[in-house]
Amino acid sequence: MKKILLDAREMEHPIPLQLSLSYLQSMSSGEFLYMIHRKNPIPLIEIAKEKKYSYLVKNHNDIWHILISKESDINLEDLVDV
Amino acid sequence: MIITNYMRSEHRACDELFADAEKSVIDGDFTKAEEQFLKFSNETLRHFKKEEDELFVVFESITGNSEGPTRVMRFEHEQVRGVIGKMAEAIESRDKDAYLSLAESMMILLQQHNMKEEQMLYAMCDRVIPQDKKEETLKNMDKIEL
Amino acid sequence: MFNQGGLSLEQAPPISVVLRFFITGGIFGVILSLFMLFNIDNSLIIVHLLGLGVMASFMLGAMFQMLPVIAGVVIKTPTKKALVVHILLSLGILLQISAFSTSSNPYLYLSSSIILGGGLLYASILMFKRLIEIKDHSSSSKGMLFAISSFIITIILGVVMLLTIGGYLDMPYLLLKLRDIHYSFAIFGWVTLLIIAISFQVIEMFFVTPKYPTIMTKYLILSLFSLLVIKSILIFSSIDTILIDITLSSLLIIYAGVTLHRLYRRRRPTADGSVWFWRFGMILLIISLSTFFIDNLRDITYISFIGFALSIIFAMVYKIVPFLVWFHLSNQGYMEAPMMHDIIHPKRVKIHFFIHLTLFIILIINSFLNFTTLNIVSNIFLTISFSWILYHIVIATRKYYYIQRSFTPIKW
Ligand SMILES: [Fe+2]
Ligand SMILES: [Fe+2]
Repeated sequence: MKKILLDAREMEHPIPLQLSLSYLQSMSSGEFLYMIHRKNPIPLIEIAKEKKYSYLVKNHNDIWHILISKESDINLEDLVDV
Repeated sequence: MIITNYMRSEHRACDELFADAEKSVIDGDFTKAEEQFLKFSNETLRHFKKEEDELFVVFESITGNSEGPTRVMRFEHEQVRGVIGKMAEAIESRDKDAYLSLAESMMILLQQHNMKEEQMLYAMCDRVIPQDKKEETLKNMDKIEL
Repeated sequence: MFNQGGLSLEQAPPISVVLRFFITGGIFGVILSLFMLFNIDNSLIIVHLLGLGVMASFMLGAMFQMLPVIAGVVIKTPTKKALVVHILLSLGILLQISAFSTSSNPYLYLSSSIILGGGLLYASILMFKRLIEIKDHSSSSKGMLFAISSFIITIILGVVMLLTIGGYLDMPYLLLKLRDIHYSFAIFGWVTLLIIAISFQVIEMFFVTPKYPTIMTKYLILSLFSLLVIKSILIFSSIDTILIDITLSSLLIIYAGVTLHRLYRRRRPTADGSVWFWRFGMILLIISLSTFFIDNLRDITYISFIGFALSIIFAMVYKIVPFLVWFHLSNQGYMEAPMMHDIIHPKRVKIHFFIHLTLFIILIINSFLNFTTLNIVSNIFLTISFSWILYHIVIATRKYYYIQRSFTPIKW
């Protein structure tokens, strides 16, 4: 699995949403999006749900780690850094 | 998706150059920032040129439409060029606050523009341009210099 | 791949839901300033035009938009529900104003309590029910729950008072106590708690600031709400509330100070007009609460509190409207979607900020001087201020529908 890292902690709204959507759109099935953010990006998760992508949201020390993949049988728990 | 992938990776590369320059400005290292900003603006302007002189032209000739999406994109390029000019002035006069303000508008502006291209225009290019023509366009774009 | 014509964002309500409330808020703002300009000095009318017509309209619009985004709460058929609330609210306010201005027509009191109370209770109970179902609360969504609870209490007390004044309920001896509790929950509950809840989310999100201290995001809103409940009980038992008021004010002053400090430590210090609105709002909140206990500065307390609430509302509107217009249009697949700064230009926001700043400086100065001319000047500024924001929301709305009408979205 190839990791596409998006560290959005320093980015201003709505740039994280813009970038993550465009990454998500172009991502192939061998890749997964690894987003790091200050806030839980609910709209992004809703879209992932709607598209039936696998996703994982983890809050560690007040930093959100969001993993999204188009693969349905994938264990994202193994890929999260925290 | 070869057009989308090629162009998208250029967008990302420009984003990174932009972030480098901003970091140097925040650290107060204007000599370094100047160099990095120049790289960013050169790459961005070259990317625009690739679009305007190659990709958009091919798209327009195939769809027979030069008044539609590409016209909007060209117009947005002009807006970005305007902000690049102002940022260059700010960096020259070592004005940190002005630079960072402009950087904020630039980032939001550029991301809006890029998202439109990636979501709509490039996707359309990948769909309507025949494969061999796509490869040719990519080759021609590689050759473009500022 | 994403489906035709961009993303179908089920959880984001259609833009009309938000814009209808924002436009209404702006219109009531202009009506309010005209009332002031023509010296219609009925404080009940002014307070309710401001609190309901302006503030509740903007805040309900913002809630419809933000509940899905911040709290993950989905309101089904939002267009229909927003329309019902919108009609009842607008009609209800007009009835209420007529009731207050004729003062002796019981039917006006009855009808406004039913229509206004009904519309507001419908909206707030709907939001309350969705919010209480959430399993993973963030500090913002929990705060919104308390803000909405305060709103419900405010509305119920308001309805009871309208019916009492109209002669349908017989408890005039309670009226003064009810009024104090009603205003406490409206001002410190609904308005202030909602702003705090929103700030916990958007200050970091919009402006990339350091985080609020955890102790504050965890306990502040809960403490304020508990204090309000205790305060109401004391009011009811005719016990002095000074200790509660001091605690309440101190907590809010600390909150405002912390928020100012977040904004001060922003990486891009001067960029954004809405940052200035937030900063000025927090300064006014501090002024308002530190004059709270000085009897002959009462006017300043009220004026600066109103300024605080309006500052934050304007800051939010100028952030939300351009973003929504751009976001909806580009997701629908319109290449022609205007850039956010072409929808409402940041310079226009800055100009409004200076109008707003001047207005409140004049108001505060004139609370000492009491000059008639300054009074007229401030009322003119107030009119300009509300007209300014109304004009820009309307222009943004027109741009949105113009693009939709004139161009074809790209399907891919
Ligand atoms: Fe472009
Ligand atoms: Fe591009």
